[in-house]
Amino acid sequence: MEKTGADGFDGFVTARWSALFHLARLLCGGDRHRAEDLLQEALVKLWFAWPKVADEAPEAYVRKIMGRAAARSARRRWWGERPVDRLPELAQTGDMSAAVAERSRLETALAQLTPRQRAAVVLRYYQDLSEKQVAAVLGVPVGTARSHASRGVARLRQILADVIDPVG
Amino acid sequence: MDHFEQELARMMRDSQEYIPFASEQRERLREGVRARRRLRAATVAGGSVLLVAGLTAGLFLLPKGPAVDRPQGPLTRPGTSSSSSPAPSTSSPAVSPTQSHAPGTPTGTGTTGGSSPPSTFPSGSVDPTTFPPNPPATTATAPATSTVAQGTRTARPPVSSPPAGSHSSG
Repeated sequence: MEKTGADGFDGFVTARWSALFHLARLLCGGDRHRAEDLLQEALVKLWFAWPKVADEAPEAYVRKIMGRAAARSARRRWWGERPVDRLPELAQTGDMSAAVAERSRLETALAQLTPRQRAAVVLRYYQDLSEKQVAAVLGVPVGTARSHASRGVARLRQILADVIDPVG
Repeated sequence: MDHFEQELARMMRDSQEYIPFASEQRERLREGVRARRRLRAATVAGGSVLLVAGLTAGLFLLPKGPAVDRPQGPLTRPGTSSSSSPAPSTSSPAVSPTQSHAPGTPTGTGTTGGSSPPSTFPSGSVDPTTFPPNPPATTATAPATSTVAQGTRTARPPVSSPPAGSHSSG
């Protein structure tokens, strides 16, 4: 029984690792190490809850844990994010592909949002959740989730104005 | 969803790169599970120890507390019953002389009622033996009056019996 549960857990993690890691990376504003810590912490919690959530929606469980932890991360001391007026100097992109450059630009822009705004924006546009679902994941009222998402998008609209051309 | 939001969603999806679940990450995950399991075990053990210590301390301290503050009630005496009233039974003239002469009944009512001098007349002390000079004379002259007189005398034991003696001695 436990062996079957462990196999199921390993299979789930192996199959969904890449997608979950990308979600964690977006939630952390592109910080690879923090994203790995966040995902590891969520998967450890999933291991102990696996008998309950294995037959239901384990990915939704991980998403909720990561979303809430990322939104709370502003209170942690090791979170040293500070908003700046100008974008930090990007790495030389001479031999980088356009996709990698675009990803770096996106992650840099996401890093300038507050953790709650970033979590709301990522869950709303990357996970394609409704405002009600975003509110449920973050554990906040719908109006609060909507406010975080709209403010985050407005901020990204300013930052990425030169990357994403507005279409009239 | 406007154009910017659509582009934002596309950028988020397109930026995903395939990253396999490496063995080092698997080992780190297992280590995290083991560490959390140890933490849970330690938490449960610590909680159990605290619970046992708390219960022990509570059981050790609880019996002492109320006993100190408890008000002291009236002391119960072995030979008396608490239901009877003290004064009227000892000096009650309503007790019939026949009952006072009877060996069992008068002493029971008299002593139980009289809580003040119970030690002087334990049970059968109301008998004429307590008053040696009176019984022969009174019983010989008038039986009815003698019984009444004895009944009154038994009602007041310490004062009534030795008046002559006290006068003679004093």
